[in-house]
Amino acid sequence: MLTYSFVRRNLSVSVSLLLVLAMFCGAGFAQNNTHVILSQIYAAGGNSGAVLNADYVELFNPTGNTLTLNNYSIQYASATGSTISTVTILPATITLAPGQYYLIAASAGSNGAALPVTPDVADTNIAFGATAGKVALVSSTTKLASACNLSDPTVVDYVGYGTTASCSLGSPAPAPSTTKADVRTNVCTITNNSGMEFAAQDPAPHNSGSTPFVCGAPTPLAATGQATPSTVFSGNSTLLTVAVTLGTQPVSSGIAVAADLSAIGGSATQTLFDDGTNGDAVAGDNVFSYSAPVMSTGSFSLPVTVMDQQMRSAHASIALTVAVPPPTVSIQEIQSAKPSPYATKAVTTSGIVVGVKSNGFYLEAKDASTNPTTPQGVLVYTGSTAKPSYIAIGSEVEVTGVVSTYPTTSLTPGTEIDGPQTFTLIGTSRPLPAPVKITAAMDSPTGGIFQFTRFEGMRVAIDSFTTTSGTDASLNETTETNTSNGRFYGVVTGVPRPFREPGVAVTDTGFGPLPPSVPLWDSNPELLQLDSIAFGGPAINLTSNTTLTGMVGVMDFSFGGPEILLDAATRPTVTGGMMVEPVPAATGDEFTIASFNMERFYNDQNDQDNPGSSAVKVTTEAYQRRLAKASLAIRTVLNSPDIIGTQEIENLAVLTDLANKINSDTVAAGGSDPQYVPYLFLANDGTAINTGFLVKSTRVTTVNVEQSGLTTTFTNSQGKQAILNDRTPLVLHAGIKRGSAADYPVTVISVHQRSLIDIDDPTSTGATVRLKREAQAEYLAKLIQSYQAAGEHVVTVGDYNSFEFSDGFVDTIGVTKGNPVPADQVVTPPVAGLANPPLVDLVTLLPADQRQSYVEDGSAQVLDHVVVTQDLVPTNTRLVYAHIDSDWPLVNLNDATNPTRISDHDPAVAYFRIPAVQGTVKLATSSALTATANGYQAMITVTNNGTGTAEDVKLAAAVLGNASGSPLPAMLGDIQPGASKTVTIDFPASAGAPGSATVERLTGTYQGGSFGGSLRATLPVNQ
Amino acid sequence: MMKKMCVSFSMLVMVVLLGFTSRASADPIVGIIGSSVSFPVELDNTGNPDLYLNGSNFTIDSPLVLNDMLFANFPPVIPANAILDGVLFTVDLPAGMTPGLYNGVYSILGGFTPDAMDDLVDFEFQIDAQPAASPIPEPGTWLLLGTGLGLLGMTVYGRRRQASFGSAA
Repeated sequence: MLTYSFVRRNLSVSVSLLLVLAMFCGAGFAQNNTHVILSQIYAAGGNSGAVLNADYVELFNPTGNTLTLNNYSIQYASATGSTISTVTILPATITLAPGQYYLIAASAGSNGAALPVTPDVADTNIAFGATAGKVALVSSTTKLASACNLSDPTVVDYVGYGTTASCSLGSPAPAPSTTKADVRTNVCTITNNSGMEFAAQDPAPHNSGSTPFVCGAPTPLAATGQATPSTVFSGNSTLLTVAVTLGTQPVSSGIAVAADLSAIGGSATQTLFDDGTNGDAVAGDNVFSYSAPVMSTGSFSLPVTVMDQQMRSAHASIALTVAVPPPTVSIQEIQSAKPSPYATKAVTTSGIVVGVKSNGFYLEAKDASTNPTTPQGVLVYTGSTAKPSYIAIGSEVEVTGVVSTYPTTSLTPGTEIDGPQTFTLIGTSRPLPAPVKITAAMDSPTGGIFQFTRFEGMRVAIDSFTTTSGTDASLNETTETNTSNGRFYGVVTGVPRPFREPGVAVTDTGFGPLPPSVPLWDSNPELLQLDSIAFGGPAINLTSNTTLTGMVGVMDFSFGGPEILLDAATRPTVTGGMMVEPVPAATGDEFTIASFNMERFYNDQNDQDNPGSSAVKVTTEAYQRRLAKASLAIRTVLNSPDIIGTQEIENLAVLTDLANKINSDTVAAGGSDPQYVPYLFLANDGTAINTGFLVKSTRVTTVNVEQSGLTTTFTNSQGKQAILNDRTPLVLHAGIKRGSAADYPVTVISVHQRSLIDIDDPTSTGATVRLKREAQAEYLAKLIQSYQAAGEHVVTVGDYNSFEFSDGFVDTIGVTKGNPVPADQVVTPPVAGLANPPLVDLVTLLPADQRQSYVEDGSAQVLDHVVVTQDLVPTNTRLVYAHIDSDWPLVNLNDATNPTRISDHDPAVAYFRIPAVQGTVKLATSSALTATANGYQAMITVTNNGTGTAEDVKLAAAVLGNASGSPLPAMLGDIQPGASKTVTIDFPASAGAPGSATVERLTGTYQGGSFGGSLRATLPVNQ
Repeated sequence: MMKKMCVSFSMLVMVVLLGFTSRASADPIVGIIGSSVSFPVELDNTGNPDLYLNGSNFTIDSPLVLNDMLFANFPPVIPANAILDGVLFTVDLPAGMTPGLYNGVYSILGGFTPDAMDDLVDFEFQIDAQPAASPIPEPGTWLLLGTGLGLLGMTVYGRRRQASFGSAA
């Protein structure tokens, strides 16, 4: 921890003569501070959702002296970074008077308002982490040797903020956000504990022209007033409160507060109280209160006068709006159109409470129809305001509030009654309106996105519902634990599972008008979201294809789409669900190549090979859990593919740990060591997610691995050159071993393309995203073509972040394959023919209902592809997705013994036939007999001692003595030269007595011949 | 058609076998489609101790069918310094098959212990499948062929002490 004495040593400011004079004169300044401090940090400027468009850092002079800052800098390091990533050099000389502020801002982004005051220095290179980071005020422009060297004499002040900050004075300051800055709550008291000194508050920057706040000077008596609610209907009351700040030197006493309420029909000298009466909440806290009835209407500024016994006075005002009482209307009238004809207006309405959640409740009309044309219910949104205790299921309640539409950006928003609200209980334990039964016929895939809007706010029931996603959750990434939020998607049972289709989603309105030939996708209007916990029931954690029967709830649109909030009391019956299904074992004549996006696979180290990245240092328990799950999945579900193209791996250390884990787990489980070898190169992604390979060296010879396009750039939407490949294509040149014959050569590329995030953004941000996706596709196509033209067998695997068809904005997969859609059908003009002959996306060989590696908002879709050159597509090439992630509840991430939900992507396994080697075939048989409870068991091995591949080897018959073995025939596939296949055959006890001599006769066939063997044997005795 | 081969087993057995297989592969055996070819051999254990014949393996091109006679025609053990005669296997040439050259290999497994499964000898052979010169008499085909082969076998047997390897008849 940095101590006060340390801070004093670090001063390099010039202290003016005034300081000397002040010290000698014994002025009343509390001079316990001697240096400029960091007083505010706003770190999410310009981000999506930001209230201000630029990051800023505010300096403050807490001393009683004028301080001169010569050649200072602001230095930044990421939350977990060990080195300084950004040095922002300040003007050569900055002079700050006592109590004066100084504001340094970054370049403005595209979101949020301009800073409310003009920065003293603007357009700097400041780029703070939005919720965590480390900021130092340094009395030098030289980069600090370390991001956490607090003993460096040039460090004047230092703030680590956010929970993941690896270095701070005391504890880190709280995490700021898009709406909150880290603000020193008392700029005059420096304790060197950021966690205590800072609070996340509304950003309120000051510049050098702002009113100084001189620490230690006498402070006057002051007061602020407010009305709660500040808008009230005439005839009602509002609580007037005045918070008094006592004057100092001397301290105020005998406070008296009075307000002039004549404008609202009250006394001109109305006393406010601090004694717990008249609405005062806490006696003696210097907050004076009065519950005032209001009669007049209009907007008022009520004068307040505060006096103390020291004859000082202060003045304040209380803003109050008194409105005419709203009209009383029915819920049906409120909901008669969208937006409501009463939108933005205050209304009074009433109904039966049919659902209560933490931030509101649902009112349904007493006379609600079960076949409405417009909604008969409405959400009363209370936010964080406490609800009266009588707001409970079955209560009949009258509500007064303001009608609003939310979310306004949605095509299907909800209508709700917002505050200020008043409530009146009419009665309790009323019968609930009968629910509307939603049938399969009503849940139409062609019904359009408005098909459920007429049920908004109403009770609904579904006899049987089939899920199309796992239950969602919120993630603590440091511990890699998920907490269920109880929400999932599905359709009425009988409605086919919805899949993503080509084109731009009709609900995706961000981009604006599209070219007329660009196809539109209907957004799967049959999907319904369910929330199992909003009304207080336990979370239902389930997989896709789970059935819920007897479902009752309330239809909500406050998230912009149809969602049913399940009744807390009437819970559905949950049956079915998915089981883990291992992919088929590869036959001996096949090799397998898998793709696995492992979703931000970080370790428990502050690795030094990715400085400045936002890689998360997870706990050791979390890391070991993820390794165990990944090993389990790769071994028992993917059947240990020969090559695995990986994505989103932090670095080679993680992939090495994973390889070692798989190898050791395989041996521990009784298998032979696959000897996986990891390959990974760091690339450009700031979150340290990289492409890699795991190569099973017992089956594959690695020729070399090379990174492609590390420094390649493209022209962004602003005409500037920018890095193209955040995650670089990784190329593996390998040979599939074929016994004693030459390896079969393959070229495998692990791919992770730019995501779809912001693809519809209408600004330059979105334009750059689209250009980048197109440029990446073109780059990859050319890379593949270079190998294809050289006659190589090319397999690309990975997270293409693309569907198997055009998304309407960019046809990335089409451009990669060489055959994109026509230019008028996509926003970004595609380039065709870069791969020639065109490549084959193996997912297109699957039936439509098997095309899934991801689930987005309940819709199954493919993001992970295996794209190959045509020579690799004989009839027996196939692709299988292991559905262990996208369909499973996110809480399964927490279970080390469960191979599901390692990631959000399902891994894919592609199977390829190993071409036969031409030459002679010479098959030899051998057998090892053991006794069993029912007879005998033979481990029969067929070895190819020839020079050519024995194809389609089949052991047709096995006879021990006169007893036939089973199961037969046994298909052994191809046997490469020098290789063997083993099969277990059981014989009945009638083969002979234990210990007796007999003969085992084996016969079989292969493509072009037959083979056999006769072996003398002594029947074993069961031990 | 019949061929008779003499194989000597001793501590130098592999040297003997290599010479055998080399000559066999260079000299196709003519077989008549619709008939069989027998492979009689003389197994000579020239040394000590006893030699165990514990198994066999074969691989042969389709559509030829190899009938393994090792255990039917030979005892489990060849005593030291003993010589045994017999048909090791036969190969059927199914009617209707395509004339041409077909390959096969036959291996005897065994050794000097009761459970040894060493590869003692590989018989690599090539059969030149030819159509019959004239229609084969329906009723007496196998009888005539067997008679002929038997006479031929007796002739070769009589010369077994002199021949280390018999050529196709």
